[in-house]
Amino acid sequence: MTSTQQQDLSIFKDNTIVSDHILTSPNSYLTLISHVEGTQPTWLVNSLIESSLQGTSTLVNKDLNRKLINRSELYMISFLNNEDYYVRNCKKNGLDLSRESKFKFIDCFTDLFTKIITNPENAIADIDRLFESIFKQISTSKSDKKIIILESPEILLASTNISSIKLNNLILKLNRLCRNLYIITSHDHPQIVDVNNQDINDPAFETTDFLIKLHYKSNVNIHFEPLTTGRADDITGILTVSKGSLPFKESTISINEKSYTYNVSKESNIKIYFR
Amino acid sequence: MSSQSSLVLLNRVLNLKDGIPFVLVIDTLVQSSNYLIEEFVSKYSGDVVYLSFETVNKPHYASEFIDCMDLTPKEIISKVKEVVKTPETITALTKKTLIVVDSLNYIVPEELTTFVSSIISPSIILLAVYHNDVAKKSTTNGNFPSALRLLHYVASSIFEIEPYFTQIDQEEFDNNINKLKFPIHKEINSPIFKLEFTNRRKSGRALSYKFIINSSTHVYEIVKESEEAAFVEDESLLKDLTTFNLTTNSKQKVAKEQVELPFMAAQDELGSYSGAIVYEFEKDDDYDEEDPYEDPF
Repeated sequence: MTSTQQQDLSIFKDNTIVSDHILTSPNSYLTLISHVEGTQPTWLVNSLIESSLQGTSTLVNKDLNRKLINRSELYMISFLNNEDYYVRNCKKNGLDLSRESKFKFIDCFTDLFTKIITNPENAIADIDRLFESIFKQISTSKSDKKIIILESPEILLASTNISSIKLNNLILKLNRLCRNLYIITSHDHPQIVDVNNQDINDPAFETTDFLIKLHYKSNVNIHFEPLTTGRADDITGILTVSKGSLPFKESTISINEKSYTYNVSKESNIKIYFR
Repeated sequence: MSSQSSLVLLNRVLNLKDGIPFVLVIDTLVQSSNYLIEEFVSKYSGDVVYLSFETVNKPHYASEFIDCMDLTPKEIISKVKEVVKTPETITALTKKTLIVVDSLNYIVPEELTTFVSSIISPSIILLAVYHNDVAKKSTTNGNFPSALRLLHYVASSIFEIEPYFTQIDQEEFDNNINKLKFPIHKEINSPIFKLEFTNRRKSGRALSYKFIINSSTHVYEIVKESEEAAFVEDESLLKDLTTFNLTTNSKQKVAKEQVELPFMAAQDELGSYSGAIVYEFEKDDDYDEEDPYEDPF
């Protein structure tokens, strides 16, 4: 292994962020990106967008420098940010998402509680309608290399009367429409994840149930957390890439299980270090 | 039961040969049932119907794949009956249909036993998975047993699986998993795992055995309890730590075991004094007439 590779992030053993074998697979897979307070995974999401669309990874893997045209079709569904947020952030990666025809942003943030969901206490029909429109939009395209990134769906659990099983079912249907679904969720303990909580009236009970069921379906887990030893100026956090509950069906897809420390500078430059 | 016969029994159950109606697999996030289910179906030649509550891709071995996501238990049962045709006469040679359920956690405990018993029939073998670390919702009736307890009652064979760790800091590991943070361990969700197999005989008597299963090579080994105990007391860790000899040889160990501990003797002889301090004068004791600690008043 060369010295340059040692400072690079690769999720798969073929030194890629989004593997070609996933894009050409007939199966659908799930990757969970979990984070806790103080470690937003925005830079990784930007790299996933870049890697999915053109195969490169300017900021985190210098070896991935061969640009491929229309590598896959990427759908970004966000309950937490609007399109501007990603268009602005991806400029650092050399991408102008406003001109990318293969990048589709589905905004579930701007009008979520004004137009999309009018009564959060009785929101099942509204959420069904929302997901139906998403399914329709994704199914319209004939491309068989679709990647979906779903950001913060757990917001629906905290703010509406939807159950964890119902939300899991909708996500499962979404997963079947693409080669790989990335779900970005918060794993704050004990506000979101509390496995010992048995109080069904506590919102953490439903979010924990939702996340555990998601983890049973995941193929890759990517976890962000702050340094366990406390805050440091030159390290922002720890990133761990580990295998999920389900193995990949293709033996050609192998996860590069590794733990990294990383630093995001004020200029949004990313430095990755092996732990 | 000898080790050889427990292996024979495991093989018979994995081959689904003994006419077992319901096999329950209990898994966790760190060792999912995927490899064990593959082990079952790789040995099975009949039809496999897959009931999916959470599976994204249709498994290669499934002859029928029923999506149960938005269906009620009654609707699932009627779909199963549509797919599985019951033969008019069932003989020992009749090929049974294997029904695999990816997770029973999606059915409420009140309907669970009805669901299981409605599916089981003489021409069907049910192989169902229950995820042990999914949050348990309390039932409307506070005295109603948990889903897992109910399943324990009705299952004829239970396979409880966990990772086969050779060395691990259990406390740190549990702490991570409780936060749904998955550390890097090659033993997690590996094709080699530990299995506790409970088999219920027709008389109702249940016997448990532990095995190490290698699903890649299909080799099964019996876990010897002594191996586990030896792992706890490993004196080799004390070697070369200091210039002092911290280890004990076998002669010293025997001597150590034979030492009669004073509190044990006290329980035998002096228990009848109910907590009083009893002093028995022995021949080597130095006896003073005057007690320096005596209260002068």
